[in-house]
Amino acid sequence: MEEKAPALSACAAGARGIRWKQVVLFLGVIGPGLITANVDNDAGGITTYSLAGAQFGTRMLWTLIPITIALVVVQEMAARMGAVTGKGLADLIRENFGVKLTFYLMLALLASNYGNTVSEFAGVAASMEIFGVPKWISVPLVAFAIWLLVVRGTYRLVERVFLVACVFYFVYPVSALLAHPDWKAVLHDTVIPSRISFDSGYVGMLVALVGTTIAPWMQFYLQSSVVEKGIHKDRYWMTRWDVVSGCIVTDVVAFFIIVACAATLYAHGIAITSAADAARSLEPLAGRYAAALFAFGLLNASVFSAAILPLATVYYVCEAFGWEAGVDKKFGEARAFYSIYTAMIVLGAAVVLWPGFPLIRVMFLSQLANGIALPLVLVFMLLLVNREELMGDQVNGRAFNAVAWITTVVMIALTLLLVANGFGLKLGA
Amino acid sequence: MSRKRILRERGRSRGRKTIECNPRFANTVAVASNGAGAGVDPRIGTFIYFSELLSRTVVDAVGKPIGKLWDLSIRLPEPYPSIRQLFIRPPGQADLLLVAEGSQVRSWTENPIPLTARVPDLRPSRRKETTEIRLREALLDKQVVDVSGAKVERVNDLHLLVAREGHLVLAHIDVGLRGLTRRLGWERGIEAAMRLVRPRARYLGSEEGLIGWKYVVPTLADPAGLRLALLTKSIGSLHPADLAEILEDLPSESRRSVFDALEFHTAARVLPEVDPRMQQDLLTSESDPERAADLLERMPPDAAADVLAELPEEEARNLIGRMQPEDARAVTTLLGHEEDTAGGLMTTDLVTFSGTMTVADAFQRLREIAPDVEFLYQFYVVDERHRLVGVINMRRLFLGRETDLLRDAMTPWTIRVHPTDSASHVAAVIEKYNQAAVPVVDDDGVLVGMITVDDVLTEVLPLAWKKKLRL
Repeated sequence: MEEKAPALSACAAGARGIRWKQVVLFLGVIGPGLITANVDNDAGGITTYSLAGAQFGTRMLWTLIPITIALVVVQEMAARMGAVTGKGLADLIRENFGVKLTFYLMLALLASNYGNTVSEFAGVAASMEIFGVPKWISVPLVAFAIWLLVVRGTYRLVERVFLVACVFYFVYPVSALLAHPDWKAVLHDTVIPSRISFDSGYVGMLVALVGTTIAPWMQFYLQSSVVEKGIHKDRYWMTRWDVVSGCIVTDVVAFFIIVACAATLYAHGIAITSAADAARSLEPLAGRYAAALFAFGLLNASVFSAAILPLATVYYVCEAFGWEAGVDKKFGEARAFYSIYTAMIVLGAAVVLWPGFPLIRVMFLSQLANGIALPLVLVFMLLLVNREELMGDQVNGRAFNAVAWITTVVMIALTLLLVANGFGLKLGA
Repeated sequence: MSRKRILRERGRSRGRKTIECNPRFANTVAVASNGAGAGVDPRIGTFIYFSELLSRTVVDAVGKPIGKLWDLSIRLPEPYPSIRQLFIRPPGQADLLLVAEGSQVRSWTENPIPLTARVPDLRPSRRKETTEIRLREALLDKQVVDVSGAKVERVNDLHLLVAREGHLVLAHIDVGLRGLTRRLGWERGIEAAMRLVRPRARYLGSEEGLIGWKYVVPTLADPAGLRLALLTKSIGSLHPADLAEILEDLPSESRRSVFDALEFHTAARVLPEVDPRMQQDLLTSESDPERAADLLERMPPDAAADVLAELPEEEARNLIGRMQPEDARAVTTLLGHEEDTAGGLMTTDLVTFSGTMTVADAFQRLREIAPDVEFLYQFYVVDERHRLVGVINMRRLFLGRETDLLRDAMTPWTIRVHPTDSASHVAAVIEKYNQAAVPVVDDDGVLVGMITVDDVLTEVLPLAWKKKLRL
């Protein structure tokens, strides 16, 4: 009788769901990649994609494939470092490159993420105004709700809310379908780069597309959430799929936004300056539902990113300096964590409500900070991921390294171009 | 100029309640008048920060520069270890480190640092010894466990004591803001500003952020033997809940090696407190599967079943196979139930008596089995076919006469749940009847398990709130 226990146990374990085991395991690991990818399509992202579609039609679609590859390469490295070392990126940078570099890098990231947060709240204001809610009500309300969710909520609740928010990105494909695009032209322009030009408008848009898709904060956020999930080397292959599918989802959403705007706004020669503009202009062209969905998508993305961005920022700033952090901690236990988080949200929302605030200038400065931080972060990542004492046999392969370095160099060049472009255009204007 | 710091050890006020008394209160390294220059107490010596030493040049016996000080090493385990070796980087040679012995230093407080040796006496650095810790490589900017505060900290600087015998001793690690500003080169500016704005700020206290080295456990992966010596001494004294929190804060590699090095009974108490995702990681990465199985046996069967349910089939089967047959059976029974039902929540770790036993018999039996039973408040009276006939709690046993039969002393039981009942139903029953536990009884009236209130707490609390809000 006694000896039977092991065999019996296996049967019983089976009853509890061995068949579901793989599924549950995968769902347990999934999340970091998908959430990161979707935050990437934030208010700034949606604006850029809308503008690309409205100004250049389908001409920009070809960029999405190389962008996806670059995104996968960069994100995969971050996730791998998280799984192998069990440490966040800020952690690794601090430990390997010293406190001074870390401090100034964190300062730059704080500035760039603050700018992004401001643009998320601007997105909330714009999209709610389409539904007839004045920004005086929507922005404080959303800011407070986000703050409350993180400060008073538990980690599980926060993650669930975030995952639900991810689902709402399906509104963009629906919007695009309602716009009845010319699918043949769309497919052609996606696969084959055509009508490439070198005028400043086209290059500027190209740079903006790349810049909005690959941001420094994402690598920190992704790596930390991989660590937080306790994903081990052995189960890393599942995370790799999470990352890859997340990147693809990001760019599929981008694809549909561009298509929706190309089929309507570009086809009718309507000029827009923002994503909210795009939503409003869609109404006469693609119908009320397409416009409402578009606006709802913008709202969802803005709220979602306004919640995650400050959270991600404060997580890795605390990580770098060894301050207590975590949504499960109380205020007294994690003062720095909650103070920075609250300040980012309050100041982010306040600036949007401040009449006559030089919003464009602030956004440009944050983009500048972003441009300074991104090359540093990418180079740090490549140096770290190739250190054998950290990564063991999980260092980059030669081919992967080649792709990664090329991506990094191109990214750096494009980012510098973006910053230079901004200096020329925005400060002059 | 060397900085002279007089140090008082004092417990910092903490947000979190620690159950252990803070060992810092018990230990005073040195208390002295705040002396500058000649006022320094010769019994204590001079304090100096590692970050200040690092920028200095090292010169040989005749004053010829050798290079910049790159690193210092100490040897473990010593409560306040002295510096054994210096690593000097000659200019222009990126991959060469010259080693000097700590005893070859003429004075630690001078800048540049003079040695008694000449360059030809110095040898290049070789492989690290296992008991050696290099301060810059292994401690500066790294995470350590602060045993006195029961948390993980990041080292901003190291506080060294130039003892009166002339050797340098590692006295404290600096995890404070001041250490951070010092490294950034802003210490003076910020200090001056703070004195103007808030002269009594905690930041300005000389002990801000300093933790005695003897309360520090480095988390770097080094030979287990060495770590074990350190851990059993210091980490093992923490409350399991604190230790679990520390484990959660550590990077995964360190978490595993720290857990691996814990004494068995400490590990068994810590494991149930750790986040379930990490429990699984810790168990599967145990170097010795027998120890993992033993740990599972020590856990309450319901907690063990929860961990096993999360593991891949192969590993779960392997671990269950290594468990004692009776523990294995208990766990497998629980694994057969859906997670959110009474069957999945219940534990089989309960005490049953026969109705014909007396109160004295019951006490006798409790004395025998008590060490292995988690919940010692409510006991069940069953018939010969293990059907539930009544319940008796500890209070009733205490108040009963020794000769009373349990059959007469017990309460005939009517409150019970079925293995397929939902967790929320169980919570409702417990809440309604104000019970600490409720028996789980199957279709034939057979007692199969028990659910204690803590297992459904997450379900009970919302109920209590609803009641409060009169919803």
